[in-house]
Amino acid sequence: MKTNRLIKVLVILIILAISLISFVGIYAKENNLRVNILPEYLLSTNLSGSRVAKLEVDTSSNEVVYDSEGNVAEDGENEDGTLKEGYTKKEEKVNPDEVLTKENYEISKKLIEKRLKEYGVQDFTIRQNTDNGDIFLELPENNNTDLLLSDITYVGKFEILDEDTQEVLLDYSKVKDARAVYSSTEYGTRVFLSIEFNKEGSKKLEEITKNYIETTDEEGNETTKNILINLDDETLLETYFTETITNGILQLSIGSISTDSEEISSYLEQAAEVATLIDSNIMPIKYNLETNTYLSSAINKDILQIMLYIIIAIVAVALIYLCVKHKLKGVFASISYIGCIALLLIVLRYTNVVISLEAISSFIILLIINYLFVKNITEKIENKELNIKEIARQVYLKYISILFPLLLIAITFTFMNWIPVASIGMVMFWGILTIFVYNYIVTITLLKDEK
Amino acid sequence: MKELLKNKKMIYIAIALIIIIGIISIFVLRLNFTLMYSQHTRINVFLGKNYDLQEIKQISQEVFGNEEIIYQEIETFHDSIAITVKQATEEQITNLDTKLKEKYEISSEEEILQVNEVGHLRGRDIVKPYIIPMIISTLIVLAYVGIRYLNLGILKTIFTLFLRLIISESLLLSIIAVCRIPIGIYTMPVAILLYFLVIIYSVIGFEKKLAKRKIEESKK
Repeated sequence: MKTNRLIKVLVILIILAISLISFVGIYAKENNLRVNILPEYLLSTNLSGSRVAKLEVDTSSNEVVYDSEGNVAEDGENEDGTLKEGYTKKEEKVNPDEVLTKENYEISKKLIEKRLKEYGVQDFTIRQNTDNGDIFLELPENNNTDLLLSDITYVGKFEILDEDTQEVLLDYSKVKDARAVYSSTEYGTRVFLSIEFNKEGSKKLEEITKNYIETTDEEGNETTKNILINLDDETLLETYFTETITNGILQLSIGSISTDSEEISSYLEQAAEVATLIDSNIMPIKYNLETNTYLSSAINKDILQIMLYIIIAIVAVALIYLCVKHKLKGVFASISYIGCIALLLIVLRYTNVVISLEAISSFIILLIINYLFVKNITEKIENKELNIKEIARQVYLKYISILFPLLLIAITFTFMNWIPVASIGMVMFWGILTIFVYNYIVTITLLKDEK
Repeated sequence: MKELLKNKKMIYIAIALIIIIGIISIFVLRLNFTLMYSQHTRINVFLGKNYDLQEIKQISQEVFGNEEIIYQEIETFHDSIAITVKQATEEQITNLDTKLKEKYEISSEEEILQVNEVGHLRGRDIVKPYIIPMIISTLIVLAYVGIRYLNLGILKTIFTLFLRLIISESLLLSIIAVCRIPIGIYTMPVAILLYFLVIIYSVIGFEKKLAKRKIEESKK
C-alpha cells in the first residue's frame, strides 16, 4: 500500500514536471540571456507569416532593329548611332496587346502553380487580379525562397542556337522531358540536366551533334563549331559535341564533380529548377518580380486568443465535472489528462511537426478522445467489477476500434505534399500514439486501487 | 417510438430543405468571402522609422471609417506595415499619405505608400488541396468499416457512413451559404473537424450495434 502511494506521488510529480516543461519551458543561460531550450513550434505560413511577392505583367518595350530583308539585326547601327542603310527600328512591347487576354493570364497562373509544386513548395497561395493579370504569391519563408522567386518568372523559352548565325536549331517545342540526374564514379558524383527530345527533336539533335564538333585541318589547326544553349535568351552554355547523340537525350553537366553531399544537393536543386522551367510549357506572358516582402500572419490574434480561452474553459468545465463525479479518482484523472496534453505538446515540438491552423481540428478531436478515454477508465475502475488488467484490455480494445479509422486518415494525410493537410495528419498521428502510450503508463497507474 | 420516428422524419426534411436552400443561394447569391479571401486593396506603408500600431490604427480608421481593416507587419524591423481594406479611393490614399507623413514627420516628396489591388482567392483553389487526401482517406475508411462491421451488412455500413459524410459537409456548406457566413481561414478547419466527428460518431454507433448483435447471437 505504501509503495503504491509512493508510486502515485512520483507519477504526479512527473506529470507536474512535464506540464511545467511544456507550458513554461526549460530556461538556460545563453549569452547572458535566459532562453527556452525547448525547440520552438514550427508554424505554417497562415500562423507565422509568409513571403508575399507580386508578379507584374511586363509592360515595357524594346527597340528592335530590322535589316532590309526584315530579319532582326544584332548590329544595325553605324558608329555615329544612326541606322545602317535599309535598316529600320521599331518599338516592340515585351507583351504585345494581343497576348494580354484573360485566357493567357489564367494559363500563366496555372503554369506558375505547376512550377511551384514541382519546386516542392508545400504551402503557398496564388491569387490573380483578373483585370490586369498581376499575380500575388504567398510562400513559406526559407533559404530557397529568393532563388525560387528569381526563377519563377522565366518564360521558359529553351533554345539551342548556332553561335555564329544565331539560327535556332532546336527549341522547347521538341522537348519531351527534362529532369535532374546524377552519376557516381570513384572520383565523386556529377549532376546533369537531362533533356529528352521527342522523335523529331531526337533526329535534329543527332544532326546537330554531327555538325557542331571540333575539327582539325591538314595543317593541324583546330576549329570548333559551337552551339549556344539559351533559356529566355540568356545563354546557359556555349559548347560543341565530342560524340554523336543518337538516343535523343542531351545531358548537360551542372557544376563540377564532387564528393560533398551539400554541394551535390545544391547542384541537384539547380538542375531540377532549370528542368522544371524547360519541362513546363512556356508562359504566354512575361512577368516581372515587382515586390517581394515578408508579411506577418493576417490572422487576428485576438480571435485566436478567444478561441484558445473557450477551449481551455470547456476543458476546465469537463475536468471539474470529472472531479465532482469521481472525487479523488476524478482529480487524479484530471491531473493525468493535463499531463497527456502537455506531453503531446512536447512531442509536437521534438518531432518537428509543422502546426497549421487546420491542425487545430485534429487537436480538438484529440482533446475529446483523451477526455472520453480517461473518463471511461475512471468509471470502469470505480465500478470495481473487473481487475485493472481486464479494464485496460476492454478500454483499449474499444478505443482501438474507434481510433483505427482516424489513424488511417492521419497516415494518409501525413504523406500528402501539402503542409496544411500533412499537419492535420501528423498532429493526429502523434496525438493518438501519445494518448495510447501515456494513458497505459500514467493514467492506469494513477487510478488503480491501492491494495 | 412513433414520436421518435416522426421527429427523425422532421429532422431529415429540415436537413434536406436547408441543403436545397443552400444550393439555391450558392447559385443566386454566391458565397461570401472574408476580406483576405476576396479582392482587396493592400497598402504597403514604408515609414522608415518605428511606428506605433495604435497610431496607425487611429489614422487608418479616420481615413477608411468603419470598414474592416487588417494590419500586417512588413519584414521584422517595425518600420513598415501593410494595411488591407476592401477598397481604397484615390482620395483616401492621398489622405492616408498626408496624415502618415504629418504624424511621422516625413517629407512630402518621399513616396511611402505602395498600393496593390490583390485578386480574390477562388473557392475551388481553397478546396483543391484537400480533395485528393479526403477521397483517399474516405475510401480507406469505408473499406475498413465494410470489413470491420461485416456482420452489420457491408453495403449498409459503407452507405450509411458515406451518406453521413456527404450530408454533413453539404449541410455545413449550406448553412455557410444561407447565413452568409464569410468563407475564410477558419472554414477548412471546421469542415475537417466535422469530417472527423462524423466518422467517430458513426464508428461508435457501429460498435454499439455490433456489440448488441453479438449479445443477441449469444442469447440464441
